[in-house]
Amino acid sequence: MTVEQIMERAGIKQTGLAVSYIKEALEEMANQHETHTQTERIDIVSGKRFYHFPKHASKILDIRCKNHDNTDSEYRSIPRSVYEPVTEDSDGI
Amino acid sequence: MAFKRYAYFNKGNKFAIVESEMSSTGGNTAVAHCTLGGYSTKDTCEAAGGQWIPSSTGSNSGAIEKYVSPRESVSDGIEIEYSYAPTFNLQSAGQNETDLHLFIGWGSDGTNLLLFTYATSDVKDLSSLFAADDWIYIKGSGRWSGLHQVKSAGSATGILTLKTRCNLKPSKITVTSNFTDTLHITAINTPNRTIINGFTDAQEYLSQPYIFVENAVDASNNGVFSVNKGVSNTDIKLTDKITISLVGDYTSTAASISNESSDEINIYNVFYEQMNVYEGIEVLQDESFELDLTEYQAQAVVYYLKAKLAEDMRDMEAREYFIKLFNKQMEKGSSSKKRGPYIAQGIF
Repeated sequence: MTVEQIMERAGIKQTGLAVSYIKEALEEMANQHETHTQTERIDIVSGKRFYHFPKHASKILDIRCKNHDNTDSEYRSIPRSVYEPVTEDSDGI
Repeated sequence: MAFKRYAYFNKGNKFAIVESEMSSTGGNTAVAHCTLGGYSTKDTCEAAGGQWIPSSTGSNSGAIEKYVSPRESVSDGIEIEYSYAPTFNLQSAGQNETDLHLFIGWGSDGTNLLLFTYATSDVKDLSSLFAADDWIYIKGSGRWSGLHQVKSAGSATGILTLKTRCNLKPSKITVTSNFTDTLHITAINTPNRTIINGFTDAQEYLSQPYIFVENAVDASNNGVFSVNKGVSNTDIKLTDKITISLVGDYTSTAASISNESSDEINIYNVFYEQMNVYEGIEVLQDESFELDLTEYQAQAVVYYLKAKLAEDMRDMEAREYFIKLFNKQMEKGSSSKKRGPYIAQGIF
């Protein structure tokens, strides 16, 4: 369905306003109903503790690590730590 | 591959990956000795009426588990699954050098995000490939994966400037320096040495720094290099050069540079990441855009728009009504794809 068809159904005449609201609706759908999903792989760097989320990620569904609880190079979901480790990251990166 | 145990936690706009490490509490150990002074063996000690104290091997020690920063690098070690808003359609066929381009890393000019690339033995001219305001899609970079817009036409020196804001410290310096066959970039005078010193100091926190050299007179002196950290603060010692082969493979080989004197160059701080950049992106910005939604989901979007219009009219009752329809429509859409009973499964 095109933006034009949605505008006609909703009775909106201003394109800018409609595009803005449609983007908002798509963001809401991604957050609440996870309609479109994707995976992205990032390198683990020795000594580097903090990593950035992908720029266009709306909601994180899972974080998996290679060889977590296995030796077969499988990716398995890792648990979320309730507390931060007492050992601080030495270089803060 | 070694068995590992990871965990994560969120911190601001980042997430932390920590790895379990077993360590010993290590009880205090004692060196074997005699209660009487001057005896160094058990026999002579006991013959003299003393008591021989054997050495302690830490028999009361135990193992504890603690989480620390990852102990070793793992290529593609983290896999993130996420949902995203489909505000664009990727229409690229993914043909290398046509609508798919390989980049070696990213950096900043102090304001905007820059992408860097290099050909096999020469700089790569991007001027005919990217125009200002083009939309691109980045894949393979954890942080920058997603939709971006080109700020200005691609440079002839292998740099693509995007509209995405990015400020790095350090980002870029311009210095006049000498290239020597000992793989050093050496500033020609004190003012330039000061600039390089500030740059290398700011790169100190990186476990493996990389730089991109631009505008060197000799083409082979340009490109992405790894830097040997800690050799000197007033010059830059190069180690390896990252290039892209003719068939599109990333290659890291020992750097080889040509001697050059008083060369005015730009040096960028680079984060090495193998990135794919796709062209041919259709972005949601006008009425002709085709939304990647099912009919059911599109109807939900119509309800959402009506809810927002009602909100603009201060009609909260209508707003709540349409939001409820929106949610119900989405739930109906997702439940229509479920068939049969749920089966409970253990965690293994």
